[in-house]
Amino acid sequence: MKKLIYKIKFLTIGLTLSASMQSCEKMLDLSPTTEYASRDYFASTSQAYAVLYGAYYQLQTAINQEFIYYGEARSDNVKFGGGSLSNNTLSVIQNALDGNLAYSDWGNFYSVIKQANLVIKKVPLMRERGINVRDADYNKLIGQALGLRALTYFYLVRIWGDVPLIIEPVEKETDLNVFKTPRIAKEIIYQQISTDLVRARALLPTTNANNMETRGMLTRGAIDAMQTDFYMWRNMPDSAIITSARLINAAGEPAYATYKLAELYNPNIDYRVSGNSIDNAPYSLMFTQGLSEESIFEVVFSFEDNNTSNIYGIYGNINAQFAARDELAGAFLDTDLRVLTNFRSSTQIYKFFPKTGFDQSTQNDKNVMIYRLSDVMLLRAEALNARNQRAQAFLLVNKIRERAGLTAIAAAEYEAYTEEEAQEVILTERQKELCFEGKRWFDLVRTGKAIEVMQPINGISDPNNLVWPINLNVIRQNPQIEQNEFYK
Amino acid sequence: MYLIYQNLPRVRFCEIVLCLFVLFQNIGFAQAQSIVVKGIVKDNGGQALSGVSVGVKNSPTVARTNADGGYTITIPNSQSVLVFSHLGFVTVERPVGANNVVHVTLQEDYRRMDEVVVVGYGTQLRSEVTGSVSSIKADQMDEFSGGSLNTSLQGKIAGLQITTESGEPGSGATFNLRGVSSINGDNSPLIIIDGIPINNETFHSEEDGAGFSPLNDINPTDIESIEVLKDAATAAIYGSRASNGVVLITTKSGSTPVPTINFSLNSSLVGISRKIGVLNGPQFRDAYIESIFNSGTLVEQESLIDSLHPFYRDSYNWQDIMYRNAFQHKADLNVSGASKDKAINYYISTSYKDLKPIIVETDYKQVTGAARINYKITKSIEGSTNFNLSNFAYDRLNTGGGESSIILRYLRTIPVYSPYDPITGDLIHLYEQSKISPLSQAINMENKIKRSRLMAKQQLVFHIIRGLDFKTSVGLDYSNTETNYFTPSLYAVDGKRVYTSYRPTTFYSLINENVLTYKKRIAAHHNLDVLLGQSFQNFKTDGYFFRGTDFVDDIVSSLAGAANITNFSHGVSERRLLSYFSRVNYNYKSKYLLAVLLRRDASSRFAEQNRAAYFPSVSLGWNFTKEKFLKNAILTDGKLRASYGVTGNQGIDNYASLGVLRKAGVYLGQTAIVQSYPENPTLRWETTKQIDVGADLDFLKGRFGVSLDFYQKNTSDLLFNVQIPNHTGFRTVPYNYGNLQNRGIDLSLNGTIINKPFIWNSIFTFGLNRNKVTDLPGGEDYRPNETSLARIGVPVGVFYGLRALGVYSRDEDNVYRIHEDGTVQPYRKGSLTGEIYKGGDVIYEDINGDGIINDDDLQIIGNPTPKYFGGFQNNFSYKGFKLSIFFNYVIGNDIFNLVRRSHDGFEFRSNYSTDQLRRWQKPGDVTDIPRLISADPMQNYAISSRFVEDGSFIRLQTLSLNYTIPTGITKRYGMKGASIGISGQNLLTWSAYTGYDPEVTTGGDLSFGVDNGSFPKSRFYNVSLNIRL
Repeated sequence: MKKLIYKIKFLTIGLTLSASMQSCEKMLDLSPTTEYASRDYFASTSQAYAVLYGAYYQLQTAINQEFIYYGEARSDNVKFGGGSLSNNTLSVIQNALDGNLAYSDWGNFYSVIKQANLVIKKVPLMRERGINVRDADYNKLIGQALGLRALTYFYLVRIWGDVPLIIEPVEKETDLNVFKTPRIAKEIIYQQISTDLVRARALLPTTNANNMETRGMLTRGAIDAMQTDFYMWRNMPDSAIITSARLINAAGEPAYATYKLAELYNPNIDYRVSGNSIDNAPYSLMFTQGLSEESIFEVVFSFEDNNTSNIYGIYGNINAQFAARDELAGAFLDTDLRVLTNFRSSTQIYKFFPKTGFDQSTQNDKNVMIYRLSDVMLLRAEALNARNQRAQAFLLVNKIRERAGLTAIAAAEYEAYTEEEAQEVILTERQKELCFEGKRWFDLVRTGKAIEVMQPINGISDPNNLVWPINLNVIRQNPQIEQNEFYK
Repeated sequence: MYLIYQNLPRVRFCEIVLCLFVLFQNIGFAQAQSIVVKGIVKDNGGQALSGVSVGVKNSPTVARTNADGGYTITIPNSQSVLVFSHLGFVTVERPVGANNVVHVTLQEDYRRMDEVVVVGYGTQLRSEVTGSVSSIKADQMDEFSGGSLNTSLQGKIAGLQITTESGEPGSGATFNLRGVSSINGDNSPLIIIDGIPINNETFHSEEDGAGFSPLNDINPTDIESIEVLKDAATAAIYGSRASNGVVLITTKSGSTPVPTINFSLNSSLVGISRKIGVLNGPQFRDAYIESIFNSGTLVEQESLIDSLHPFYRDSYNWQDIMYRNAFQHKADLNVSGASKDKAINYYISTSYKDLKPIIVETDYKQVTGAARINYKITKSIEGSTNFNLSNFAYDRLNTGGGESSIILRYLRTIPVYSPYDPITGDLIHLYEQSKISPLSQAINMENKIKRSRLMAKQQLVFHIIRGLDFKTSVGLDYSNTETNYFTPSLYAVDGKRVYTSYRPTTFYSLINENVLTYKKRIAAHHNLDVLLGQSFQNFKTDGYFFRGTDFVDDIVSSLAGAANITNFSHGVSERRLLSYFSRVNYNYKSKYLLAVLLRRDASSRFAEQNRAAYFPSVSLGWNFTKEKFLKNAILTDGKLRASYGVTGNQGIDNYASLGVLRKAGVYLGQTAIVQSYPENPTLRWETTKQIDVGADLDFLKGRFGVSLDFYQKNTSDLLFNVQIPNHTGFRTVPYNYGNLQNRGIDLSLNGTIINKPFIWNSIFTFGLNRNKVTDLPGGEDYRPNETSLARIGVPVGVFYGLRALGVYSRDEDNVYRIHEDGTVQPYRKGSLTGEIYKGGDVIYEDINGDGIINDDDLQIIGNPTPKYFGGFQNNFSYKGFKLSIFFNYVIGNDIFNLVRRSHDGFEFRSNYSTDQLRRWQKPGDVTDIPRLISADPMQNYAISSRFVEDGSFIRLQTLSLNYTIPTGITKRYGMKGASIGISGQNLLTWSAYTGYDPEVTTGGDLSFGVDNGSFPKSRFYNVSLNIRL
């Protein structure tokens, strides 16, 4: 009898155990609580925006100091500033780049592309799944993602030449070897950039919700600027004239109400007299505070948001990584008010910092200028000059000069130039106007002057040396990637 | 608690318990008239034996002898037979008869086969174990102040290689049981303390990545024994977490009614065991100027060239300034005992450690406490309650490998920098270019880790009927780790800011286990032991990070003084594991043994279709000396074993299969979310299939013993965060990637070589392991870092680089080919038009013979896996003296000395090693050290065989001498016993390795045996005092 009771009891135990088994298995469905699981994501417009902001965040990471190393440091604008030597600085200044350098890794740029690809793919799917995405949001999300992708690829091809082309997000990968893809010819990348820009332009509005978003995120104007830059890089002045005309009208004035040259020369203020601090000039504020009316697109850094660019250790500081080359500093006329903005002492680069009252602990968060009106005006001037519309070109150049307090170049003078001479004048104006903003090196490369200008300075002689080496880790990960010829 | 039970069927659970109680009602024991017997138990040397178990045959009554060897036991009648048993002694049976006093002398027993061995969810006689289990006992634990579980196990288990990460107090350690079984370096075994699996994930300082071992929260003194389950036959009961082996730790418990109080004090003098040669001031200046001159640039810094400058004319070896000799102390106090009726026994302990590390201005203090109480509630219900508490505070410096490491900084600091102002004598804080003085940093920087941990367990055992037990337990492992880092205003120059960062992280795991066991002897010779169990474990990590800025001054440096919180984050990560397991042990006459086990684990880490997995194992044993025809006088016990089984590994991020998007920061005031890694629903367990064949042999009544195992482990679907091409936007993705194989031999020999009165005991362990990668996706090499490689058919993590053949003595020595017209074609770097190697450059082997040195010439240049490793322990005792000598050895591995490469190869304006004294300087110099040239244009410091060194070593790990004060003297002072001792740790190391220590950190991502510069090992000189009251 007892035995029977035991048996029954054990049967009960067994049954309860196996019953609890079923309910317990459900407890293993755990979802993250302080982050999102992929499968649950893209359920609302605000989630899609968060990924778009994520793309901008990655862009910050990709260019916060790098814009100097990629766009400025290899050019004739800067020299070693005397700070504590870093491998990166020394290699760039001495033109001794190699694949061990941290900045030779393109990974951060592709993190921007990863985010952009997600938005481009997922937002249309949200609509298919019946999630309400308002047209305005839809266009803004997709347009900005396309524009960011184009901008990133534009940087990539300018820095490395051929690069892998990724336009789909990575999802549920089954075979990791599918990612071992080779570099794609830059002509194909160009096509992608061109297509993305056209699509982005159609989707984007001319302004965003507020001034900060209008200049800190992409707009139609930013795409116009990017297209102009892109076509000038590709040596297609006709296209550049068309795209820049959308921003700048025939009178040389901004076509959008959003943009206006930041004032510098003011007949009523003499900035050379103390008390009239140059720090208060709108032109200076454009760099020290950012989001000026001249700005078309800039990457915003903010101490409050805990993204500082740490630019002060690279420029600015007496022990900075870089200082202006004497030749550049000397090229500014004494009457050029931009000298006051650009420098402290003779060669200390101070363009981004207020000359008085700068607190490096809280203000080391300067925005990175990607496009501003002057940039596009001077690109347009170059394009117009190439198409023999010299008066139109110098109308623009003179606006830049006059803003700096310089005299306009008289028609008689510019008409006397050969086309090359005129281009040189425009480029020099561009060098002075946009110095330290990460533009000069790309200008030298696209106009074919890099070797001519830089050979006497650092000995560069091989056109294959104009691109950067590919990081060795990238090659280790993916043997399909071939090192750039010069760095083999 | 809430989390675990909210979903459990509570009613049903209660029902089970209830019905079990009903069952007990029916069970009882008849009480008869009783007799009280007394006596004293001694060993054959006449010493009283305490803690001897005195039992009555065929009765549950048990007594234990007290410190004087005396016992008292109540027996049912005069026909009863007393059974005296004690670990390490031959069990004696004595009929009581008419005597009321029974004195017994126990003979020492060398036979290991009667030992009780802790296995998963129970214990077994060693003679009946069919798998491979090794153990160490309390007397093998490290008692010196800096000793830990990790150091105690080192070299003592055949096949288990433990590499401590550094000489830092509490440092992490890498366990490699039977070879490397994982590519990402996570080989940590499952650690179980008194039945509770504890958190054994090395925790890292967020500031510098230095690893700390969670095993350090356990006081080695509290440990009774440690068992290591090595093969699948034993480990598969822990299924998914057992691939890297299982370490079972049993803590001490009490036995005698008279409490025993133990007090011990250990004090050590510690110092750095060796220093690396660096250049002095004049040597440095010469070398530096030469390197700059060779590169054709200018020197502007006075400190580097001006030997008369008042600030820079002296010379300092910064290792002498930063490393010190320090005193470390450890005090232990514990009490153990039992109630008179033996219904309750207890062990309570506390310890205090004050470990001054060998770097100046650092400090480590730890307190531990433990309690274990076992009690009988009724005849059929027993319980036990355990606690382990630990709390430490460590005031430290960043020692983690790589650039931020102070270890490298001390080597590189320019020798002409004076720590004090030569004029005023004040401490210097910053040198040129705002370089922080290492000494000032040590004094002023705040870098703290505080950690508290509680491990607790409550267990109840119900004896349902004879042989059938139900055991239920709840365990908790809770820890709270806080790190605090503060840069004072002294260093807030060049845009650097005064900030504090504070990271509190709590971890907890709760476990509930329910196990039914049934033991039955059928028809006299068939022994059956069945186990059925269920386990549920919940793990949760909850961490915050805050960064505060803008302080009034450096006095209130916590967040309390910060005006702003500029950065913060919060992360919660949780996982659950639900398991069912069963084991059947069967033997016939203890001669033929069979064990079958099966575990089913389901983990929340995997997607539904891959969530559950089964881990089976089967093992056989044959105690062949029990066969009549094999009985012989020399071989006392002999057992052959064979097993096959499957174990798993689930070491991956908690949400790895889901894919995760998380906050990365803020842009324009909006939350920026970034995809961390994509979804991978195919993610599954890593599985290891292991075959083990072994033998346990005891000779001459156990005086000599041999254990020998051959094994083969095949690990497939290696689970880790695999690096992928970063043009995907990801650096790594969680993935099952590749297969591995490990084959080897574990051998352990022990013996009493000389016996009485002078005794010499010896234990020798030997592990041999050969591993290789057997599969990789697409057959392609995997190269996650610059030094190491995974390739099919070769050992895991071999070093991969150029082979250096020497240094060109002259420019004209560089000859690749002489053409017919007499022109010489030299070797070039990179391409046909690349730079030509000159005198003073390294000669690299051109394996494809194209005259170009490039990536096509990379080859395997070293193997980090040792050929053999183990230990050799010798104990000599004579009367009260005991001398122990313990060697540990690792033979046949290579080390990539990354420290040496970084020291000389890259950093600008920093000191060099004394290797540079024999550098190439002028044509005709014949040397192995290339010319010094800033920026290294010819890549003489590329990853090459120049930095691969033999990592073999034999270390005199412990040398100790103990003297037990005769009981006659101690009694006079009211003590039960006392001993004093002196010892030394890490006294001598025989090795050709040129770095700090050949025991090298095993980093993640395949970088095995790469010396990245970790906290150097210390040498300890100890004195100890042990008093028993």
